[in-house]
Amino acid sequence: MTLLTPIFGLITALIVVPLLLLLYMLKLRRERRDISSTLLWTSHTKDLRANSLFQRLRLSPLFVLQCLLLLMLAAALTQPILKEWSRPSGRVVFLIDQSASMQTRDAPDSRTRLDEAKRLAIAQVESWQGGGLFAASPPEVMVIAFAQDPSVRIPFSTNLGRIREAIDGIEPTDQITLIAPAVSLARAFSSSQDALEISQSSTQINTLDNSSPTMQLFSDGNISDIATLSLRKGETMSWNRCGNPQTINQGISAAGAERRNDDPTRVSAFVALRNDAATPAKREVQVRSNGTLIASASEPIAIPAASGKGATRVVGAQKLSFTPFALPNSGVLSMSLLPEDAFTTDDRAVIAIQEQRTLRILLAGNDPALESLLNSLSFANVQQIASTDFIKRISADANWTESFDVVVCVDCELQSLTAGRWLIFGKPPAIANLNAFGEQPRQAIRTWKSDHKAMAQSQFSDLVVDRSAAIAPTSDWLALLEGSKGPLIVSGRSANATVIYVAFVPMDSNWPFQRSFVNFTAQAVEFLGALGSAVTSESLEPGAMLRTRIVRGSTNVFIQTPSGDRVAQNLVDGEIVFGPLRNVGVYKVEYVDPLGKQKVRMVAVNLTDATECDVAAAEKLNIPGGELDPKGVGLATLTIWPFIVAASLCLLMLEWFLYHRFGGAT
Amino acid sequence: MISPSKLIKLEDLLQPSLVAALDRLDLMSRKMLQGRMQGERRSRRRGQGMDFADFRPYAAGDDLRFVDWNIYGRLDRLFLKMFLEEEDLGLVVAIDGSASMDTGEPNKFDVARRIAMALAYVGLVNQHRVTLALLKDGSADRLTGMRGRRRAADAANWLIGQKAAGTTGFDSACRSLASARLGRGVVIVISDYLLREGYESGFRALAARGWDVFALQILSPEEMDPRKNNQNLDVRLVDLENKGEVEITLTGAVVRDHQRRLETFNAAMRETCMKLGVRQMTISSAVDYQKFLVETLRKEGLLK
Repeated sequence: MTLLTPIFGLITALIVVPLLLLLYMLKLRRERRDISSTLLWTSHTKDLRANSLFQRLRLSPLFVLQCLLLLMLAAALTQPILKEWSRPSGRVVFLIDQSASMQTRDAPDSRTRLDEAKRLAIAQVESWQGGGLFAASPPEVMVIAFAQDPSVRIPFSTNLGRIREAIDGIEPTDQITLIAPAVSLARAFSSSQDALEISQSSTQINTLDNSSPTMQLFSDGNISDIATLSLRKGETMSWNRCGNPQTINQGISAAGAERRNDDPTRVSAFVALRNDAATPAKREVQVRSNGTLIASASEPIAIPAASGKGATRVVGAQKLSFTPFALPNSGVLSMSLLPEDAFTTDDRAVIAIQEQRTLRILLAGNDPALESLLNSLSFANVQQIASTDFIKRISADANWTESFDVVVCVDCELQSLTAGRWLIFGKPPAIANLNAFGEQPRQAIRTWKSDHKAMAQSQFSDLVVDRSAAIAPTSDWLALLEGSKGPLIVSGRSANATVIYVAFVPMDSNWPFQRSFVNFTAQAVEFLGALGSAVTSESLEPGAMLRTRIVRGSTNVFIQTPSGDRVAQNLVDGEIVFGPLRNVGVYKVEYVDPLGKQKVRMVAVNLTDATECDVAAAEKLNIPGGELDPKGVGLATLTIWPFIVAASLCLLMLEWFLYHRFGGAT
Repeated sequence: MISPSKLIKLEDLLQPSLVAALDRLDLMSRKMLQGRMQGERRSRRRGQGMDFADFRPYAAGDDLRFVDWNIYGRLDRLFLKMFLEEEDLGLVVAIDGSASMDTGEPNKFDVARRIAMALAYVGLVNQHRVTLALLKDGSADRLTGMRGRRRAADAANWLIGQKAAGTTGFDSACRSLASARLGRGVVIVISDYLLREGYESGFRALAARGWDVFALQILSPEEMDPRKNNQNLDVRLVDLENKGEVEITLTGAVVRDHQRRLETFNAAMRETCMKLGVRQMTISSAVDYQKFLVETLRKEGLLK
């Protein structure tokens, strides 16, 4: 237990107790009352007849009780608190988790965990601020709200009103939780403020508190990067757990939809469900198109129970695909899991379906295998041009390539890349990012990135490349396929161009005879085309940046968020960048194209992160070098003074009873 | 608490509605008393009254008018008829006139004077010798020699003219009263009896003179419950007679203790009175004194 204002209580006790003593020793000024005779009263008051100002102090039970009462009230004024409430020395950083899992409604009164976190934080600050005139100065508090990206809500301050406003103003997001950036931000802010204060007044260097701030974490403990968090020497962190470790969740772990290759007017949709509970669950699934119910399971879908514990835990999963349905125009496909549970964010998923259309592909150069393959793609409309003509054309009109969804080049002598999406085979373009330095002889395949959309469902181990360009791409480019002597397929951006570069022509390898050639080419074209939202929009995760290209010269560019807010955007080189995205739902990019037509492009944002969707609050936080135990759910700390005041009132009633039962003169 | 006397006229002392009831009452003494004159009181003495009492043999010198000649005719012996003799009775109503009586709500002195007036009226209408006395400062101011209804106004005026002040001097006053040539009869002493000097010797002096003494103690409601009509518990009590002061906090326990002391005091008084052959009664000044006169005193045997 700690006393917040010990001096105040001590001074009060030193004043009131002697005052009571004095009152007992001073003679009471009484009302005169004439009576017929004092014959029967004299024996009552033999010792009250003294005519002096003071009288002998008589130790009575009432006096003892009153002294005790005053001492208890003085003790209450010292504001005793339990140790959890103890006032920290130095500075305090509140790290308040605003991630998606903090929207789980398992706090008392069906409040969200974020509400509970804010309540606890405010209560703690208020407890430090209390104390009145004689209280020690409260610690400086900085508030950082964090999910995927941290933000300082208020720098170090002792202003209770501003701190409360800052905490109250923290809004929930649907992002995942990363604590390392938040801790880094806290460190940076602490040190920068110290440096600022030192530079402002060199005479105060010795008085500044340069110790590391105490960090108070308000979170449910579902933190993706908690294993990477390491506290420096002198840093302390305490964890106020918000949320119940027993909370279970079922949700949509993945959702997708695509137009059928054989009939682009129809859309196939699938959904994957997850179950964190140790018992199987049954949930109803509905699919709506632009708000109209178009599919629903005839009966609740059974989702198997989760199995295993700890690192070997496997959540229950169920996949569901729906019969293809007609959707020739653009629209929003929403999938819902009913009834909703405590964590509703993953009970819904949305997919933005773009209007049915084919990709406009420009094939520059001559490669029979590619030409045959591209022409066979149902979603592609291929226009072919000789490489020399292509070079001349783009030299004359740099924006020409942007009018195509994808430009495929084979052995073109490209001196630069104009705006657009490029799939380049053979000779490397003369851009600095690739650092071409000659040719590589025959080489086999060492590894590839199978999780890239262009490389999925492909096997490259049998590929042998007879001759390829030697390149050393910069670190911001991604190597998709690594040969034995260097990268063979890379992906990256150069100015306004998005590029997948294949360092050889297919005919210089055995690739045209392998299935991976077909898969890669089709997927690469679709991947690059999707960046322009040609077929279907890619679903983004909260926290990602919404980056999309629209036609140059477009005006009135706005992004409408799922909450309905419209945010004006600046078009820079035909591209807009918005984010990081805070919430799930459909974001609409609205603009007026150069022809004056109102256009809308939709981007779906869904939460599918497994850590964030596992909403059971953590039992402990395992950080390198130790464990953090939670302070507990709900009010982790307690003020004592109300109990002392209540006990004082009981004492007062006892004193009153004794006064009337046995009399004040006894 | 001081609540000064408010009596200013006869109607305040003796209400007309009470007069009719008092007309039917008479005094009653527990003692055989020798009256001075033939009155309307039926004494226990055989004499010339109207009510037959007994026979006795004739003796020389007896009044021949009372010989029962019928018996002489049957028995040939002279017997004298004896009657209950009606004679007058001395009634002294003495009131404590000290300052302590001028307190209480209702005022004790007023109530005492009302009761005194009523008793005097009963005595006057029954042709008794009525004396009113005020015991004050060790003496007894008196209005004596009243008989008959016509003197009621004199009695009332005398009572209205009295003021309560000073001390009682109960012993001296009672001795003074006893030594006065008032004959014998009933003496009713009305006081609060909160007397530092005591009352025993005073009663003894009256009883020694053959008076049938009746001690009527009047206490105000505030004396019975000191917290009545008093909001302030912390008080300085001032004795009206000797100006002595007592500081006290009137808590429940103190009041209960005071009431116990009062009961003890009254019990001691009753014991003393019983020992001296004095009838004693304690009433509150808030008593319904009409009912007290008509019913309670009849039950007590003072009136009939």
